[in-house]
Amino acid sequence: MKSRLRVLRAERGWTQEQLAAAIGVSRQAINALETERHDPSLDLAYRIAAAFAVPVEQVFANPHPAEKMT
Amino acid sequence: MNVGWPSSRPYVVGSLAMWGLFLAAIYLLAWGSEDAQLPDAAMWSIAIALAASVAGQFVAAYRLVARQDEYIRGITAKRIIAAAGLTITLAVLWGVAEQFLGVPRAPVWIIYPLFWGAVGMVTPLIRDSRP
Repeated sequence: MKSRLRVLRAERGWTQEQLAAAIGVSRQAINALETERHDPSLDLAYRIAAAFAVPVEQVFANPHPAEKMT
Repeated sequence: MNVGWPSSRPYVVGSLAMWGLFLAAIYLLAWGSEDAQLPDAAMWSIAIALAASVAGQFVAAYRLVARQDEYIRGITAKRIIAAAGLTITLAVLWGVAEQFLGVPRAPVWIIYPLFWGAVGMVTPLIRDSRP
């Protein structure tokens, strides 16, 4: 899943280790998210968004276009 | 900041102890059956201790993985499945070859170290948690 994780982290000057410690995951998990080797659970996505104090859509764009139910 | 990320030190120490017990039990069983002619009760006790070391190693691995984050759990599950698939495939091939093609007999317990060897082999290849 594409994300703005690396950009948001760079804007704040955080290392992968610092972000990992802030949200309680491994540095490998942050690296996997940034390199699209892991799709986060909803819980992890919200924890990351909370760490950056932004809505979750600003970190992870919804890959599924909205469809109207008929 | 969360600085309490689970350490794997207890796992490493526990694993070394389990492998030490496993290897010592193999040695004792070989010595007890050939040189020392140990009684059946003693041989069974050693065999059960060996099996307990195998179970203990898996319990320790399960506990370690349960403390990890979702990414580590995901890739570990994939690695374990790949390693189990490789090991069981090889064991089945060897088993039928042994039974029907006359290849030399191999001890079944060798599956255990083979499995962990396979885990080591697939670990650098599986780094993506996605299907």
